[in-house]
Amino acid sequence: MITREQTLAELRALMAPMFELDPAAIVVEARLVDDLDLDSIDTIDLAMRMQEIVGGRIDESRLRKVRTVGDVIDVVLEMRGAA
Amino acid sequence: MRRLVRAPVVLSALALFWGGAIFFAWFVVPFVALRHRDPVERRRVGQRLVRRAFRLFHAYARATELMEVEVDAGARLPDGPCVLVANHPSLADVTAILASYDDVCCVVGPAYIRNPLFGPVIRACGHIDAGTGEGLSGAQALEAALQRLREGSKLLVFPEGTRSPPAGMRAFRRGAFEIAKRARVPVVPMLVTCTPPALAKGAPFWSYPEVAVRLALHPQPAVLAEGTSRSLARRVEADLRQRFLGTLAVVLAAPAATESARLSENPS
Repeated sequence: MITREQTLAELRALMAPMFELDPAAIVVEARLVDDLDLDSIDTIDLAMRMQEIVGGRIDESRLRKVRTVGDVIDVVLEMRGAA
Repeated sequence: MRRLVRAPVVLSALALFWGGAIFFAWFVVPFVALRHRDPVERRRVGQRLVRRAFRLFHAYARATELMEVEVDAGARLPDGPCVLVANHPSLADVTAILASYDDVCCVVGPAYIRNPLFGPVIRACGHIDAGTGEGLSGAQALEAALQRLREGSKLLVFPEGTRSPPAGMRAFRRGAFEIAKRARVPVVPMLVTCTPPALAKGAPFWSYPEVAVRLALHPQPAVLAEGTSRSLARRVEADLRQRFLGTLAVVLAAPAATESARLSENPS
């Protein structure tokens, strides 16, 4: 069973080098656009990497609701649970 | 007095345009879909028909002295796929560009492409839903854009994201440039001038100029998609802005003493 903490650690390892972020800034409450300064292309890249991680297509309507690192964790856990 | 005569003429052109769009969406698109099974072929047939319709529409606009569309005769686009990035002074730039060049797909805002009345014709021509940009959505638009370029089409993007402000340009977003980099195709900057300004964002039809509007397309030499997409966007934006201010200084003298015009007169 993969926990939220493990998924957060996994996301830190993924996002910090990808977007040149301080791993400490990648916390559950951090907002992707406002706090981590991701732009539209960054968010597309993140969505694509998330799809690679979960090994399946994530519904666009689900991706539209993602605002924070916590939302990303929820989607990843949900997709893994469903797989 | 002239304005009183002008308003019905502008209305007739708008009715022709939107009526034509709805006619195409509901009668022409299903016919093309029946006759052509291959999606790329179907899209190109749709684009050709729409291009002819746009040319007829431009002929009507010219005959009624509403608008003249001109394209720089000397400038040619590359033969293969490329990303066209244009400033967006008027709603009519879209029809002007699509009427002037073969096999161009455009990234279109959801209000147009998802419209139930005329959206089908936009989708049938292979244009791409820009999406709402909410959350992490947007990957589908990027994938669709890369797919069109792989199939050999040209991609038209207005990197300001919406129509340009009066006599100016907004900052360019990097999406179009990122697409060009990923698809390894050149970027072709396109300067669009619309004098006097017409069909700008939020402008009502009765404010349409009393003289014939001259809409001109000036494609610039292709730029290789090198460096980061951010630096590429900045470079192309600066170059296009400079050319745009140059045309303003020549064409627009007094009537719109805008910030841009003032800047071009006093480049301190």
